[in-house]
Amino acid sequence: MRILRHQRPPLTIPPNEQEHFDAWEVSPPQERRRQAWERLLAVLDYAYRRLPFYRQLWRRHGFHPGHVPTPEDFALRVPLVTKRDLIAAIRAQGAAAVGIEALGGRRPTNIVMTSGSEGFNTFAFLGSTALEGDDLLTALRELWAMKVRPGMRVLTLGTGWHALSLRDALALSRLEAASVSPWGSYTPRFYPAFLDAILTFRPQHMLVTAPVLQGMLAECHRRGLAPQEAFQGLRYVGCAGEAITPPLRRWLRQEMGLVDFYERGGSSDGMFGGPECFAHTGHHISDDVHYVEVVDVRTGAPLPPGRRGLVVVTNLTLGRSLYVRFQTGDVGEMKEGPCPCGRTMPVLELYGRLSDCLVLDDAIITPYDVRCLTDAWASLRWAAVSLSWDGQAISVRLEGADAKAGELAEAQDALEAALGLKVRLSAVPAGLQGWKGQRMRAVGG
Amino acid sequence: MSTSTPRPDVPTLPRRLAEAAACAPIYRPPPEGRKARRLDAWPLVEMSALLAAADPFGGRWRGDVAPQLVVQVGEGLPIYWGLRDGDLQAMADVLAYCWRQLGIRRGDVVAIYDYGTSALVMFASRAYTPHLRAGAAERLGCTPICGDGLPEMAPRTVHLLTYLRPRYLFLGEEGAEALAQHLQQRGSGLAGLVERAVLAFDERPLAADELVRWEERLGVAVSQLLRADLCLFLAPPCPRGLGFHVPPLYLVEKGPAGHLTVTHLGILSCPVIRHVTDVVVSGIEEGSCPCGYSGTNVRL
Repeated sequence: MRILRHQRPPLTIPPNEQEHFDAWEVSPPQERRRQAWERLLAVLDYAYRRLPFYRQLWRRHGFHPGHVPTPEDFALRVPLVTKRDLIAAIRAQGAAAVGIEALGGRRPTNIVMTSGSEGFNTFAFLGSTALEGDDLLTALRELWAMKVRPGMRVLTLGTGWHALSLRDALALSRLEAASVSPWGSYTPRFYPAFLDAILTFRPQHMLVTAPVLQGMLAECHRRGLAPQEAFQGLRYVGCAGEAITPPLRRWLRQEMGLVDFYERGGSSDGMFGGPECFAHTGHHISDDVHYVEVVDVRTGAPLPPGRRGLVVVTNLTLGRSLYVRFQTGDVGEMKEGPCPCGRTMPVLELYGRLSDCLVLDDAIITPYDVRCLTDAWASLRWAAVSLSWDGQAISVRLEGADAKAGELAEAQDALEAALGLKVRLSAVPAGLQGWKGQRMRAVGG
Repeated sequence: MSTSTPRPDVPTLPRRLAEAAACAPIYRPPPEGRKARRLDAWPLVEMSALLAAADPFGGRWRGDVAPQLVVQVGEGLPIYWGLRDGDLQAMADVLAYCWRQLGIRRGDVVAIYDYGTSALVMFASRAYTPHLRAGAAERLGCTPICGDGLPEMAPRTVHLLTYLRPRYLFLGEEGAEALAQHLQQRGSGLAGLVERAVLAFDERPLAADELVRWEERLGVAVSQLLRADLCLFLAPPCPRGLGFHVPPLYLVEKGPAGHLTVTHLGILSCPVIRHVTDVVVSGIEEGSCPCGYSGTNVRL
């Protein structure tokens, strides 16, 4: 199983002005695809031989790893795994480890949880070879693409329980970036502490969630501080937990006086993510570590670039919980064409959870699509979007928006023109937020 | 030593710590010459002095190199730690010492329900904190799992205990209270989910009768760590319940009105010398703990 050995991130940090972190990111796509395919086959073989969850699932579906001579066969024959499958396995076994843990008999060095947006926190097991190998490498690529550089002061807050937090901590260490943390967690009670840390230490970079950012801006307003003054010296923001629309990005850059603003995307179930670059066309996927597909929400058939569907990920390295054709529940779309940044990796745009979207006959309409328009109005910005369809019109409900009737009417007209459908837009001033701004469901045992 | 009064056998500070402290504004003017190595030559430092300092580090930052990690000391406090590699390793040593004394062994799963910025979490794993080379878990060969310290995360803590069955669960005060209330609502306890809960309340050690009440509320055996975040102090309990065994990286004194006064020998970037805590102790003894422990024992 030589090809499944972990990569070690390069010991040499590239020059600051270099756009990409390592040579893989700009290597010829054909050669990369060939290597990824070899890894994929090795992963299937390993999972079948060593991981009970997959062996049992695949036997039930009559699948054997020898049945996948081509990527098309892989997509057609390997069954999808959903979060519900993992939850059912955890419940059935009464244990967090459900037979997807590709640790080779070693103990996990860390265990992390998902945020429980489906009402049940699942678990991922991490070994040191993965954490110090491919996870660190992909984290370095992500932070590098977001312009985190050696010696920079970066405001962030490690939570200890989330995979992204662990990856960031290791990558910030390797990059020799200084880390600044307020006390607490990513909830409104601590937003003033985030702003205090900004005002006190003037970091150049900040890795936070969208609600924290919103809360810090509200705190500026409460204290009578102009955001450009409050965030003086801050050049970049990396923001997780929400798809950032172009108008929101433009406004944040201007409001905070930033050089650039990056969306962080991925899935803690599936353990993958990818950086946005300065082009902001989507997330660059490390295809030496993750094999990502987009499939039709109804049929599960693979979709070509440019078509929206469900994001499915297969990890290409071991040493941690292994996800094979894991259907993340996120809506995404592979982007076509070369990226202006020079990276040759696949680009995946992410639009949010399928459960928050409307699936019509010929289109998937996402809250992101709505916010692309409504974020242009200050009173509608940051609102959480709920969508429903009654067969004739889309009902769009904005939570956390304090809009005047005229603004709502204008926004409704703009939505109808953009979507080509009848729209009923309503707004309520307050909404319920979880730690990432998600509307959380109750945790189930 | 047991009082702040100078004595012939007064402990000496390591040269590097004395030199580092001499650079920190809060200790200016520092004791001169050979006196600087004598612990009792340094002033007692109370929280009010940290709050009155002109810098965000409570006047403790030595100032000649940039910190690798800046972290707020506690909620609502305008004071931060500025730490570097060596400081972080020292704190991981302290936490590993506490874990070991509590009986945590290689291969154990250890759960922590506290904020990511708490000493219980920060020094538990190198993956939690930038620039930490090896946390307590890596040193002991354990596997840590964290809950968020927020009270509303109590159900999630029960969830992780249910499916991971760690041997130990560490709890900060906010988490412990939230968890106890959640368990009361459920009408259940932690028995069968975890072997032992370890309470670590910042500068609020629990008396024996309080510990019994916590055992009843949580439904599981309980231990406590002596904890003071403003001086990054942690000490595990004597296995016979006869006080707390002070890890070797601290010098402790019984300060004014019996307040535990801490000098941290492992933190050189933000030196802590003679920090007066809110913890009142009845005695500090050297090498005389009936359990056989030969180091410093603090009794409440």
